[in-house]
Amino acid sequence: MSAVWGLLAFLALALFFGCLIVWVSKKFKVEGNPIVEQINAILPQTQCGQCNFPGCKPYAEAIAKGEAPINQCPPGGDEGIKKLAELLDVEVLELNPENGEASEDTVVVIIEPDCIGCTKCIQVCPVDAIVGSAKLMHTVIATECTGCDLCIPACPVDCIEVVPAPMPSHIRRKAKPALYATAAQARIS
Amino acid sequence: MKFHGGLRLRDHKQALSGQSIVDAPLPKRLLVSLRTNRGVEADAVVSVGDTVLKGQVIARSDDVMVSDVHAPSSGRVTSINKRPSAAPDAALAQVIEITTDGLDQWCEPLAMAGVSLPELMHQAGLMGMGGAGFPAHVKYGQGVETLIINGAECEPNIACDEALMLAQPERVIRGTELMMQAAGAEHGIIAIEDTLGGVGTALNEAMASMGVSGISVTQVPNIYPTGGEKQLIEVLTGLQVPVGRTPAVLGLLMQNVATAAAMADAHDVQRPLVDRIITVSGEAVAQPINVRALIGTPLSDLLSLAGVDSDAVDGLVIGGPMMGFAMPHADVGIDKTSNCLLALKRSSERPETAMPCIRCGDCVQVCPQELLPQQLFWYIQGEQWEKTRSHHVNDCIECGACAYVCPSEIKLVDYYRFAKAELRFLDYKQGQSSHSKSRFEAREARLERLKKERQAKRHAKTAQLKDRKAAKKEISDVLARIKKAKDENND
Repeated sequence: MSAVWGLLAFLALALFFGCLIVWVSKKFKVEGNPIVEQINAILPQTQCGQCNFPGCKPYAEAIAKGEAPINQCPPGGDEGIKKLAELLDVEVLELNPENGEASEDTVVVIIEPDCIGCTKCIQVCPVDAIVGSAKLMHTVIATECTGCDLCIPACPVDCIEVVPAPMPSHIRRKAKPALYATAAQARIS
Repeated sequence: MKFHGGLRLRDHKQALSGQSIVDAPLPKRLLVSLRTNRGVEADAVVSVGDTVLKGQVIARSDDVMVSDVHAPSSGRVTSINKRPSAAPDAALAQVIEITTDGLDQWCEPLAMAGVSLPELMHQAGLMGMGGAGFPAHVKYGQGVETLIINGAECEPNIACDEALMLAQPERVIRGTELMMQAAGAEHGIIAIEDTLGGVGTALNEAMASMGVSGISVTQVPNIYPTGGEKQLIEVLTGLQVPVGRTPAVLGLLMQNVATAAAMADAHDVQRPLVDRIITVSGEAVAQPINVRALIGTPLSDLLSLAGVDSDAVDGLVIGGPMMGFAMPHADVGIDKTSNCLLALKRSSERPETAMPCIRCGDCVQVCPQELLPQQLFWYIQGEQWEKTRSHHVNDCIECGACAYVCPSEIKLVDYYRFAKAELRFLDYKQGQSSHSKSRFEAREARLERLKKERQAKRHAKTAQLKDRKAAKKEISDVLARIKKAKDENND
C-alpha cells in the first residue's frame, strides 16, 4: 500500500514541477536571440555593409549561427575583434583585408553648391543623417553621420566628400609611448 | 595617519624661503586660454577688435563645468585662435590674445545682490588652483562637515602657496571662512607641510587678530604626494575616498589655498580671479622667484623677469618636476592652474633609454593609490583596455612616483595617460555606436510603418472594389471626372 502512496506522491510532484516549468518558460520567455544582441552591441553600427552583410544586425546573426568569422568588420577594427573573441571565446583573428582596412574615423560632407537635390543620398542613409528635400540643397548632420560612405555611390553628381570625423575637445588620443621592442635592442652597445 | 607608498624628495625650496613676492610688470600682450578642466572650452563672447576692461567677462559657457573667463587687464582683443595652452600636454585650445593698453582699468565690480556664494564663485571664475582646475562652484551643494584647505605643496620647487600664506594669511583665512559658509561646514582645516613652521605661525596670528574661530592649522608630513586630494584626506582623517566618488561622501570638501584667497577677493572687493602667484624655478634659473602675474602672462615675460637667458634654456615645464608638462615654446600664457614654471637645462632631463620592465615591483611599493603600476604597464603594452580599466587605471593620479623609482627608467605615467585617453576614446565610440543603433532602428521602424500604411491603404481600396455596386459607382465617378475634364478643355 505504501508503495502506491509513494508512487502517487512522486506523480503529483512530477505534475507540479512540470506545470511550473511550463509556466516559467512562458513567463520569462526571451525574445530574440540574446547572443545576437550582445554581438550587435559590440559592432560599431555604421551599417556600412563592408562585412558583405546588409547591416550590423545581419552580420551579428551570421556570427551567432557560426556562418561568418569575426574578422570582417573594418570600422570595428582590432578592438572590436578582440571584444568579439572574448565574448564568443574564440581565437583573435587579423582583420580580413578583403573587407577593407581599419581607418581613421571619417564622416561625409556634401559640397553644397554642387548638390542638385535629388534625395538619393537621403534614401540610402541608414541613420537619417542627411536633411534636405527634393530640388533643394541637402546637407549632412556631422554628429549623426557614421562614416559608412553608403551615400557616395548613390550621388549622381559626385558631390559627397569624406572628411575626418569631428571629435569633442575632451577626446584626445595620444601616441603609444615607445619602448624597446626586444631586450636585444635595449642592450647598451 | 599615513597613505600607502609615496616618496621623500629633496624639495629645492630653500632658495625661495623668506623672499617676498615679485609683482610682474604689466605684459604687453596676454594669452588667455578658454580651456578648463577636462578639455571643455568656454565660448568667446568678445570678437577681434573689441576693447575690453580688466575683469570683464570674455568667455562663458552653458556647461556647468565651465567657470566664466575674465579679461586679466584692459586692452584690445587682437586675435582668437587655436594655440598651445598651459594645460596638460600643451593642449591646443582657443586662446584670446589681448594687447594691453597699459591703463589696467577695472570694469564694474561683480554684482553681489541676490547672488549665492557658489554662484559668485562661478561668476568670479574660481577653479581649483592647485593643478586640477576643477570648477569651484560645482563642489558646493552637498552638505559637508569639514572644509579642508590644501596648503601642502608636496612637489619639489613649487613654493607659490607657501609665499601666499606667508604674505597674505588674512586673505586665506577670510576665504576659508567664506567657503565654510558656502559649504555649510562647521570645521575648517588648513593643512600645511611640517617643514613650513613659519607659515603656521603666520596663519595662527592672523586668525587671532581677526578673531576667527573654527579653523585649525594642521601640519602634515612632507611626503610626496601628500598634496593630492585623496592622500591628504587619508593623512588627516584616516579615511579613504571610495573609487569613483568625491570626498563629499565622507562629509569633506577640499580647496586650494590660492582658491580660498581668490574667494576672499570675489566677496570682499567683488573682483574676479585675474591673477595668481607662480614660482619660476629650475636649473636654468639662477635665483628662483615667486611672481604675482596676470592670468595669460606669456612664459617669456616670466623668464625675463627671473633674469633667465633664453638661449640657456633647453626645456620649459609648467607644473612641478614630478607632474609638470613640457611646453613647446615660451609664447604660451599661464592659466589659473599654473603654479610653477621650470626652466630646465638639457643635462637635467631624464635619459631616453627606457629598458624592459623586470617586474621588480618597486613601483607597487610607492604607488599612493595602491594600484599595480607594473601590471597596468603590461596590460597597456598588450592594449588590453578592459583589463586596464578593471585594474583602475582611471584612479591613477599621475603623481609620477612609479616612474621616479623605476630602475628601467620607463616613463610609466605616459603609459597611464595614454591608456586613459584610449579608454575615453573607446567609451566615446561606444556611445556613438549605441546612438547610431537607436537611429538606425528608429529608421527601420519608420520604413516598416510606412510600408504597412501603404499596404493597408491598398487593401482598403481593393476590399471596397470587391463590392459590385461600389465598384460600378467608382467606375462611373471616374468616367464622369474624365468627361468633365474633357469638356473644360474643349471650352
